[in-house]
Amino acid sequence: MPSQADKTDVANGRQPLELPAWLVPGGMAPYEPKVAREGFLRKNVLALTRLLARVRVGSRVGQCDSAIDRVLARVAVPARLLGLLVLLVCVSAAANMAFAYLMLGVSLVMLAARPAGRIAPVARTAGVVALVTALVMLPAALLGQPTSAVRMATKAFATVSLALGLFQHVSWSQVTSALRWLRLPSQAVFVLDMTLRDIELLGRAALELSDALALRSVGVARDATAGAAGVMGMTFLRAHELAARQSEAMRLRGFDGSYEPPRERVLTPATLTYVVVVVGLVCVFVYLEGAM
Amino acid sequence: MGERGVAAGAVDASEQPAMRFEHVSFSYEGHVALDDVSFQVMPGELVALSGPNGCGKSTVMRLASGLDFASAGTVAVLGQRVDATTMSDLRTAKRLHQRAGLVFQNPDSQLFCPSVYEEVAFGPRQMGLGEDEVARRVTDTLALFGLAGFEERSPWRLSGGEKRRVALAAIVSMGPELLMLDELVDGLDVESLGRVADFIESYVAAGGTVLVTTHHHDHVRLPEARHVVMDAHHRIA
Amino acid sequence: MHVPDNYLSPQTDAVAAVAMVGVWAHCAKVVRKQLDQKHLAFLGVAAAFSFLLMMFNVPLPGGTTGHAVGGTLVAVMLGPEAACIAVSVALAVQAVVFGDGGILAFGVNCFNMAFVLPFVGYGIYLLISTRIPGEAGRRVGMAVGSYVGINVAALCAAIEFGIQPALFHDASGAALYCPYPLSVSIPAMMIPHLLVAGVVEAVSTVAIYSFVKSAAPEYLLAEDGSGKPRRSSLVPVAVLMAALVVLTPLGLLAEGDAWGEWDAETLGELAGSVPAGIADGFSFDALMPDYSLAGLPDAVGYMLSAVVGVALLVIVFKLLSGLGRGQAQDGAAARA
Repeated sequence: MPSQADKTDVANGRQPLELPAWLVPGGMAPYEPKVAREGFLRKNVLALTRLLARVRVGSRVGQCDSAIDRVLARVAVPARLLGLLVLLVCVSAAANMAFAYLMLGVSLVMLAARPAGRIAPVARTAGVVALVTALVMLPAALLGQPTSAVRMATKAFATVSLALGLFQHVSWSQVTSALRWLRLPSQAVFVLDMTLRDIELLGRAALELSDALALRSVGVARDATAGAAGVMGMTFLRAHELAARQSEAMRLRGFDGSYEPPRERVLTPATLTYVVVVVGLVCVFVYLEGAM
Repeated sequence: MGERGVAAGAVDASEQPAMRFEHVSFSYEGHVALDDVSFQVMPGELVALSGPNGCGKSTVMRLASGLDFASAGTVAVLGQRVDATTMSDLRTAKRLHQRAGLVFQNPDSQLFCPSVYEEVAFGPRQMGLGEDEVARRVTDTLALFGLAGFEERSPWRLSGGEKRRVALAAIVSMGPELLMLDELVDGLDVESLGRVADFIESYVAAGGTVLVTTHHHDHVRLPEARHVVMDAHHRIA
Repeated sequence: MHVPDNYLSPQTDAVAAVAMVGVWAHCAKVVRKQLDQKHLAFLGVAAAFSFLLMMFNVPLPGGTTGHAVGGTLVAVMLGPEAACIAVSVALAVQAVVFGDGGILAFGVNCFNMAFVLPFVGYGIYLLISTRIPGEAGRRVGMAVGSYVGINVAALCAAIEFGIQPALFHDASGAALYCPYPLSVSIPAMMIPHLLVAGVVEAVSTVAIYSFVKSAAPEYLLAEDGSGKPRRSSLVPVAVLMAALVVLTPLGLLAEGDAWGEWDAETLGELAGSVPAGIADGFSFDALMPDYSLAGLPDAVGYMLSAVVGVALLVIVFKLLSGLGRGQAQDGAAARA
C-alpha cells in the first residue's frame, strides 16, 4: 500500500518526475545498430553452457518415451546405473571397434524408437560431443591415422547417448539412493549431489542470462571478450550461490547429510533379466577383445 | 475487457499501435501457453495485463521481445513484425531490443555485471555512446530510481526491491520507447513502488508506452492503467 | 547397381551431381509442402525399407548378384518426390557408413536409383492404375511400374558404364575407367535385371505395400483423398522390419559382386588389367566397409549394419519432421 506521503501526493495530484532529455521518447535520433560478427567466445561459451540445462537429470522421470523405455523402467535403478557404468567402460576400452559399433547400434535403436521431439535433445548433445571429440582427434588424422577420429567419435556418441537416455528417465533421488545401495559412502554421495546441483543450476542460470544478455546486446561491445568472460563469471557465481542456498533449504527440512538406500526390492525378475543381458554383453566384449 | 478511462497522453486513433497481437497462439511440448489472443496497445498508453498464474502473461512479453515465436498469429511491436524470419536479421533484432525494453519477473535472471554502474552502463555502451554520455545516462537513471550512491555496489547483494530497480534502470538507460514490465509492480516494497510508479507516470506523460503484467485486477497500484484481463484458459477474458 | 568410385570419369560424376542438385531442390520443396510431420517421419521408415531391400543380394546368371531398390514402393506410398529424397538418403548412408557405392559417384547413383527409378515407376503406376480400376489396377500398376522402373534405371547405369571406354581413354586407346563398352555393359546389366532383379523388385513392392496398407494405412498418402482418420500403430511395420533385418544375412549367401561393383583387384582378374583411372583413383575408408567388422562373423556384421542403417534413417527423418517447429519450443521447454 502506498505510504502516507504518497497518499498525500495522490490527493494533491502527483508531480511528474522530470525526465532527462535523452529518455523522452522521440527525443533522440532513432538508434541504428551497428552489427559486427560475434566472436567465437561470446557466441559459443554461453551456448555450450546452455546445453547443460537442456538434458537435466530426471527431466523425463515417469514419462516413458518409447516401448524400450517402458521395459527399462521396470529395472531397478541401482542395476541400471551399474550396468551403464560397466558398458561405458567396455565401450571406452574396446580396442576392437566391433563392440563399440554394437553399442552404437543399441543406442541408435533406442533413439529411433522415441518420438521425434524426444530424439533431438539427446541426439544434439551426443552429436556435439562426438563432433568435438573428432575435432580433438584431428591431429591424429593429419599424422596418418584417419580412422582414430571416427572411432573415438563413434564411442563418444554411443556412450553419451546411452548415459543421457538413462539420466533423463531417473530422478536424482533415485540415483543417490542407488549409489548408497552400491555401498558408496554418504560423504561421497553428498559431494556428487552438490556438484550435480551446481551443474544443473549453472545450465539454468546460463539459459536465463542468455535471454537477458540478448535483450541488452543492442549493438557492438567495445571489449567483447571481457564482456563474455564477465557474464560467464557472474553465471558461475550465481549458480554457486543458488546451490548453497538450496543446501541450506535442504538442511532446514531435516537433511543431515545421510542418504538412504532404496526401500523397495531391488532384485526383481526384470532386474535380473537386465543383469543377465549386461553380463552377456560383457562376455561378447571379452570374446571380441580376445579375437583381436 | 475492462476499459477504465484513457491514460494521459492519449493519441490519435489512426496512429499505428505500439504493440499488436492478432490471433496469437503459442504452445510448447503440447502445453498451450496462449490460445488465440488478440489485443492492441496504442502509443502513450499504460496497459495492465492481469490474470491468474500461468495464464500466459509472461509469454506475451517473451513473444513481443522475440525471445520466443508464436506458433500462430501475428505479433507486431512498434510497427515491426516479430517472428523467426524478421528476428533472424541481427540488426532488426537489436533495433527492437533498444526500442522495446523488457524487464523480467525475477531480477536475478537479468543482472550479470559486477557493479551497479556496469549493469546500467552495459546497454548505452553497446549503443556506441561515448563514455561521458554513458556516465550521464547512468547518473540520471540511478537518480530516477533512488539509487544514487549505489554505483559500486554488487547487484546480487542488494535487497529484492533494490535489485528490481537496478534491473529496470539497466533497461531504461537504453532510452526505449516501449517498456514491458513483467510483474514488476507486484513484487516491490513501499519505497520502490513509489519511485517506480512516479517514473511510469512521467514516462507515459512524455509519450512512452508501458505494458505491465500484474496479479491485481483492482486499480490500487496503477490507477490510470487500462486493464486487459486474461483468464485461466490462456485467452483474453 | 551401385556404381563404385572411379568406374566413371569425374566428368560423368560431375554432370550427374549437378543435375541431381536441381532435382533434390525441387523434390525437397514439394515434400515440405506435401507431407505433414507424421508422414515425414514415416518417410524414414520407407527409406529404411529401401535400404533393407538393397541389402538382399540375389544371385544372378553370369555369376553376379543384384538387388531390389524399392524406389517405386516409396513413390507409391508417399509420392515420387518423397521417394527421391528417401532413396537418396538411404544411398548416402550406404556410401558413407558402409562404403557401398562411391562417394564421387553419389550423384550418378542417385540419378539412377533415386530419380529415374521412382519417377518412371510411379509414372507407369499412374498410367495403369487410372485405366484399370480398383485394387487390382493398383497392384498391377505397382508391379509393372516397379519392374520397368528398375530396368530403366539399370539401362541408365549400363549406358553410363558403356560410354566410358569410348569417351575417356588415354593416348594409346586404353580405357581410363570402366573398360567395358556398350555392347558388353548393356546385356550384362539388363539381362539379370530383366530376368531376376526386376521380378524381385515387383514382388517385394507389392508385398510390402499391401502389408503396410493393411497394418497402418493412414501413414500413406491417400490417392483418392478419402483419408479416414484412423489411429493405427506402427508395431506390425516394426515387426516386419525386424524380421527383414534378421533375414538380411541371406543376402550374403549370393556369392560374387554385382556387375560393375567389383573392387580393383577383381576387375583386374576379370578384365586382364586394371585401367589407370581405377587403380589410382579416389579412395574412401567407410566406417563399416562392406557391411562387415573384424572379429564378428559376417552374418552378425551384416545384421548389425542393417540395424545401424535402419535406425539412422528413422532418426534422420524423425529429426527432419520435427524441424522448424522445434526451435522455439526447445528453449521454452528448457526454461519451464
